[in-house]
Amino acid sequence: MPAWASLLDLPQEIIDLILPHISHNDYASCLRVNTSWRSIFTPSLWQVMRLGDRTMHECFGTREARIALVRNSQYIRTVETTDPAFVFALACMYPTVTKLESLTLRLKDHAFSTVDELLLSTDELPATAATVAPDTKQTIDVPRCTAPVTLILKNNPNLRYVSLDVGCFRYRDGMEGMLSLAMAFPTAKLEKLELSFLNSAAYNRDINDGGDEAFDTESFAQYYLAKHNPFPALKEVIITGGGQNCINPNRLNFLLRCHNLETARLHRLDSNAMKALIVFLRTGCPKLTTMEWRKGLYDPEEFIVGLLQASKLGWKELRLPDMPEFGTDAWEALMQHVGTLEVLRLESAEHIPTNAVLNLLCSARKLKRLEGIADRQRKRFTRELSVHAHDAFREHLFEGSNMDWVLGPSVEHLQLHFDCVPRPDVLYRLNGGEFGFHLTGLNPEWRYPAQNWIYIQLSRMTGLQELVVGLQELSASTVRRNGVDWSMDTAALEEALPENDPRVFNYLSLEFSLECGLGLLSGLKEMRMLDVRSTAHNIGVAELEWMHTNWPKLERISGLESDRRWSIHHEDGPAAKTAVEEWMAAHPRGIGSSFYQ
Amino acid sequence: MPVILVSSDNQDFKVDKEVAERSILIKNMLEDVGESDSPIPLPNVTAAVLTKVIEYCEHHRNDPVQVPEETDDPRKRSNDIEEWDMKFMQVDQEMLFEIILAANYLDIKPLLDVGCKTVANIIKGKTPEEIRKAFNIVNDFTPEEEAQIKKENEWAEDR
Repeated sequence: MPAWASLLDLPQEIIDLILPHISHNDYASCLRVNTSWRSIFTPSLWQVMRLGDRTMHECFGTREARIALVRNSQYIRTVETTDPAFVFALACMYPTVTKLESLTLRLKDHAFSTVDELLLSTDELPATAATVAPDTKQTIDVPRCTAPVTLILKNNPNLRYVSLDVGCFRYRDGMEGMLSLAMAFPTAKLEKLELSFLNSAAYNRDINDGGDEAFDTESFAQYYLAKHNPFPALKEVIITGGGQNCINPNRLNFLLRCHNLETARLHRLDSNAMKALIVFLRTGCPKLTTMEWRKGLYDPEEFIVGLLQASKLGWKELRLPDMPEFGTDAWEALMQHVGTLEVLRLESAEHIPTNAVLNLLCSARKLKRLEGIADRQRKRFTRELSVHAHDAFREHLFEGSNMDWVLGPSVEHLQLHFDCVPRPDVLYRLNGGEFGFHLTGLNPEWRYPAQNWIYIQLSRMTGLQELVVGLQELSASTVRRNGVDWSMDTAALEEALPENDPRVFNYLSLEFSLECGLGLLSGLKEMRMLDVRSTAHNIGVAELEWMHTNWPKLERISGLESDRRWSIHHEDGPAAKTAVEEWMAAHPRGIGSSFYQ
Repeated sequence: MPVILVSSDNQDFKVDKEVAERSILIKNMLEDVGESDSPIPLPNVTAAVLTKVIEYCEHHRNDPVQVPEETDDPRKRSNDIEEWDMKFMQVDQEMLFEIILAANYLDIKPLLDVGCKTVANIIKGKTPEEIRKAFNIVNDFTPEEEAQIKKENEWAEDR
C-alpha cells in the first residue's frame, strides 16, 4: 500500500501551492469530482466571483444557488458585477460578507428600466432600506445604489482595489451620494481606486458644486483632513469623466487624503474637473510622479500647465493625449521636469517651436521611452515632436554650444520625426516626377554629414529596442485642399496626397542606407522593431543584410511594405523593389540572424 | 567535500556538498553543525524518492538562486516547465506526490514548484469524469447531489 496515493493526502499547505496554477473553470470541474474534492475546491471557486454581465437572476435564479451563495459567502474575496440586484444581495447577505479584497461595480451597463424590474430581480432577498419602497414608480437610466455600496465598503476593511461607476454615486431618491461613499472607502489597505463618472443623462451638474468659486484651499484641506482618515496605502487613482460638467468637484475632495498617491490616470475630463484636480493633486498628493492623461474634452493651456505643475517630486512618467491647446507654456512647464522624466508620451506637438525637442534630447538623462501617437489612434492631423535635421546640424556646426544628445543606453523606445534632411535624391512617389528640392532652401551638400550626425546621436542608445519615425505636419487647409480623410493611415495618405504639396509628406526623412551612415548603428544589438512609416527611406538588400547581421533580434520593419514605391517609375526603382520583396520572402521568421539559428 | 545522506530505509547516499545544499533544510543543518563528516539522517524520505531528488539536484547544481516574482500571475506560468524537468516528472502518481512531499520537507523550492505545476497540468482543462480517471477516484455523489452541485455553481459555468 502506498503511503501517499492521492492529491487529498497532501497537506493543505501544498494543495494551496497547486491551486493557483489551476484556472477558475477548472475549479468548477474539480468540485464535481467527489465529496473530498468538493471540500477542497469550494473555497477557491467562491473566492473569485466575476459575473460579467450575467444577472443575479441568471446566476442565482434557483433556491439551491441562493442557499449556496449564502453558505459560501465567507470565501468571497473578489467581486465583479454589472447587476445592481447582486450588489443589494451582497450588501444584505447574512452572514455578512466582510473579507472582500477587490470590488468592481459597473452598474451603468445593466439593462433594466424601472424600479419594478429591479425589485423583481431581487425577489426573495431580504428587504432592507436599500431596496426602497416598492411603490416608487419611476424610470431610471442609471441605477442609484449608494446605500448598498456604502454598506459593502463599510463591511470590508480589507479592500485593496475598488472600482465604481456612475451607478454607485447617487441615492435612490437622486441625492448625491459621493460624500457618504468617500467616507466609507476603506482606508487601511486600499491601494487602487477607480471611479468612472462616464456620461449619463441622469447626471446633471449639481447646483452647489462651487466649481467656479475661488476658495482657500489650505484651510479647506485642514478642515477636511481633520474630519477624515487618510489613505496610507493608496498609490493609484483612475478617474474617468465624460460629458460636460459630469464631475462635481466636491466628488474629488477625497484626493486630499491620498498623501502617498504616486499615479493618477485621468480620462475624458472637462475643464471644471481639471480645475479641481489641479488644486487637490497639488495640495493633497506630494508623492505624485506618474500621470497618464487620456483624451480631454477641451484642455485650455492654463489648465494643462496647472496639471503639469502638480508633481512636487518631478514627473517620472507622463503620458499626454493629442491636445490642440498644448503650446509653448505647457512645453516649458514640462521641461521643468526634464531631469526626472523616464517616460514621455506626447501625441501632438503642433504649437511647439521647431527644434524645441533638442532641449529634451540634450538634457533628459533618465529618459527610457519617448512615445508619440500611433497611426490608428489618430483622430485629426497633427505634428509630432520633430528634429529639423538641417537646422540642428547647422547649430551643431556653427553655434559652438554642445548639441550632442544625452540619451544613452537607458533609452528603449524612441518615436521622433526627423524632418528636413537634405535629400536631393527624392522623387515623387507616385509618378517618379521631380521633387522641388531647390525650393526647400536646404543645402544639398549636407545630405550625408547631417544624417551622419543624427546616426552618431542614435548610436549611443545601445539599449534601443524600438525606433519609430514620426509623422509630418498636415495642416487643416492642406487636408481640405487635397480632400483626404482624417481617418486614413500613413500609407493611404501618401497615396492620396498629390504632388503640389512638396512638404506635406515624409520625403525629407532619414534614409537608413549604408551610404549615409547606417553602419554607425551597429552597436544597437537590442533592436527589435524599426518603423519607417512609409517614408522615402533607402533600405535595400544591402541594408537588410547589414541589419540581419548587426541587429540579430530585429523582428520586422514596419512601413516598408510600400518599399520603393516612391520611385517605382524611376530607373532602378522597380528592380530594387523586387529584390527587397524577394529578400523579405526569403526571411519569413524575422529580419535578424537570431531567428535562423 | 561529499556529504552522506541516509534515507528512511537506511541507505547511504554520498553526494557533493554543492548538490546537497540545493536543499535549504540540509544547507541549514550543515551550517549549524559546521565541519563534520557525520551522516545526515532523512527519516521522511525513502531511498527510491531520495534517488530521484538527488538526480534533480545534480542536474540543477549550477542554477542561480530563484528570485520569487510575486507580481506574476502563476496561471500564466504553469506551462513554462523546462523540458528536462518535464521528462523528470514523468513518473507514476504515487512517486509524483512523494517527490512533492520530499521537496517540501527538504525545502527545495524549485522542485516543489515543478511538482505542483505538474499536478496542476494533469487537472487543467479536464471534465470531472476525466479528472476521476486521471487520479483513479471513485465518484461518491448520488445523482441528486450531482444535480444540486450543478445548480449551486451555475454562476461559475462557462456559457
